Amino acid sequence: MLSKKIILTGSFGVGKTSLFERFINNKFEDKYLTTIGVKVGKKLVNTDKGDLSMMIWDIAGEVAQNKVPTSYFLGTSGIIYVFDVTRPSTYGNISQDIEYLKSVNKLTTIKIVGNKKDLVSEDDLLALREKITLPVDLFTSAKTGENVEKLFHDFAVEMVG
Amino acid sequence: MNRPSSSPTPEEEAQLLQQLRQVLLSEDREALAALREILEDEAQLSEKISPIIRQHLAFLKENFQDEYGVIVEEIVTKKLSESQDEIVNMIFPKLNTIIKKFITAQFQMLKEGIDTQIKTVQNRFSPKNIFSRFFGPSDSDIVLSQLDSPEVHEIYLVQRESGLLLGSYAREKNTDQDVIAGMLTAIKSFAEDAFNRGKEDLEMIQYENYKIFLQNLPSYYFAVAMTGSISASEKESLSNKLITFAQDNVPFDTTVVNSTLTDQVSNALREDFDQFSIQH
Repeated sequence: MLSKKIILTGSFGVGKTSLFERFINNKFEDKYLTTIGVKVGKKLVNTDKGDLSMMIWDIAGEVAQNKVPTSYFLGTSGIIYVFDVTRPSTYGNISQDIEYLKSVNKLTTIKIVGNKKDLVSEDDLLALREKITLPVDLFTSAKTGENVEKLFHDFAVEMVG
Repeated sequence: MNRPSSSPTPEEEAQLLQQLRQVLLSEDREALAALREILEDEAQLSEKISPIIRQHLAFLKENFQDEYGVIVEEIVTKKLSESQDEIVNMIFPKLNTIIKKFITAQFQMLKEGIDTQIKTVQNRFSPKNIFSRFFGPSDSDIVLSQLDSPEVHEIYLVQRESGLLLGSYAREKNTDQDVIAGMLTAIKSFAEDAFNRGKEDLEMIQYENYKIFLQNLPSYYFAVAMTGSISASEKESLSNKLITFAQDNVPFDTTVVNSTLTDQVSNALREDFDQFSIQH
């Protein structure tokens, strides 16, 4: 079984820890507690192509990605860039952030994820897709669990394959 | 002397008494009024009383021990004897930590001293080994150096950048070792970034008597969790042992981390370190 490192990053309060908790422990807390430093968790993901041991790093949110210690991004196989669909400030710098992440780790796969989809309508999400300059891979809701499993499972399939 | 021919009327009597009262009590009334004025006026009252209080306080300051010492002592003694458990509970954790730290530091210093002594003796007599048997460290020195000898509890071999676990060994089963490896790497990365030490590596994490010794190699690092005091020569000995282990057991290419690799390295760690004790 392969082991891979995946990072959850993005601005503060976008729901990275909620996605982490939903995926690893299948639970959701309404209370907001800011992440200090990093939290590391593990989950085994079964795919048709094989199993994967995912080591997931939930990094403290920063308004710009170049504020995150560079060493956290080293050795990662995948980066999940999370933004909050209800807060434009969390996707305002998306192009610069993604460029920066690509420059730090050229080999990694980056997925762009809009979280808190339970708070907006499908029409709002469509409008958001138009508005954001880069393609959004998935809209998720850590609260309801919608698309959370799919997000990590898709990643696992890409990595094992 | 002329006497009135008839008794005074009640009105006259009252008037006379009033006049008499006026004559007899006028001074007292004035004094009372002045006193009342002082009592009702805070500034005046303060002016009168403050010197007395100050004087009394000064007296107490000088004579507190004589006047109240015995009473206070009795109260404190009684309170202490009634609350012994609470006091012990309050003091013990702090005291315990301080004593532990002190003893560890003393052992550390003692061992460093012994190491230096041994090296001096060995260097002095090394051309003729036979002499070192007679002039080497005494039995008591050796016993002392072993009193707080370092004991290895867990070893992790971790991919340097990703923090993925390449193999591990633990004398007792503990929590998820993959997560520990990840968190150790996060701490290490943070410390190295935060203090902007360029290519320098974090080498030791320590809390109380528990230490995590880090042996850094180009693409991975060892994290050895241990208790006890470790001297410079013991550190060197452990470091050599880890490097030898890496040369003999860790594949050259560790970029792909899978269970075959981690099982292989973990088994080798168990074989090499199960009976291992750090020597000078």
